[in-house]
Amino acid sequence: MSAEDNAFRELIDEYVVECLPLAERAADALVDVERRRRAGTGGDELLGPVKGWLHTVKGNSAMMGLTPIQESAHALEDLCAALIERGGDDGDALLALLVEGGGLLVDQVRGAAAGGTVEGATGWLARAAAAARGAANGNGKAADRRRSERRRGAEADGAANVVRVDFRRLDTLLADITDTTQEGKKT
Amino acid sequence: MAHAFLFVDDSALHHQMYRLIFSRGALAGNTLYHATNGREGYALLAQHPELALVFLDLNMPEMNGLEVLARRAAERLHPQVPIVLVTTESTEDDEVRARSAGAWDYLRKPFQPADVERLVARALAEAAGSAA
Repeated sequence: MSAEDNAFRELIDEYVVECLPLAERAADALVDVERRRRAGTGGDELLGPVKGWLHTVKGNSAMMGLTPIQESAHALEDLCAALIERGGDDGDALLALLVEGGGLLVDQVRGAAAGGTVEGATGWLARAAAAARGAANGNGKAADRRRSERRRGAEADGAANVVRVDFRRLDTLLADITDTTQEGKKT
Repeated sequence: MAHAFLFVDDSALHHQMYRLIFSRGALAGNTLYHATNGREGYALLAQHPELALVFLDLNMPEMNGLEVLARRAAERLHPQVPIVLVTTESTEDDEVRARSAGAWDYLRKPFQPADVERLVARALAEAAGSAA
């Protein structure tokens, strides 16, 4: 049943009120996991709560007939499970997908009234499914190792100052930079 | 005749959904009680032996659905009140576990208003049958 003819369609605002904070919390936590893993200070303990929030978003989306959001939340849950299974082993590829997917999920929930379809979600889902399968088969290990080696090489070349920013915050960051630049010109 | 129903779920959205379902058709006009965790739900169950049916979510903070069922069985609290365990993506094992813990039936998300209406009708019919 699609979102349009769903029996609970009139509760779409309540859905967003409940699910948006959960999706945002999950997306922020995934960025934090990546940052802490890179710094070598753990972060995997955040994945348990993240899975819980994703599970709620998935269940609520299913009830509302919001299949694209349900599928994204489900794929994120699978990727979290795959990352947890790998323990401390390097899972850079999985984490990059999780961070990207977390941002997509936030946009999908924010746009739930329009059905939760956002650009890039289908492609991300396909990549997430392939990565989850690869992780289950243990095939992602070698690719991750290569990626880690490349990253370490880049850091050695002086690229260690690169900071990943959640793309949802990019607009705010750019606006702040513009304001600061303009104020600088005035003085 | 109006009946009393209890909904135990940590999701405000799900409580709204139940309110919507019970605001229409044959289900309108009943008394509804709401609890947002297992502990609150158990307290309301203890206060209301007249409940016609309880919808109990499996995954909740503080006290989950299976813990509520286990405590209720241990304390033999109102065994005549049927409890439906509600969950997402359950397996047959989960269903067996729920029934052995004392659940009267099992409801998988996503569900439709008609699924709830069927469960209510069956619970009321069974209650009427056992009263006769």
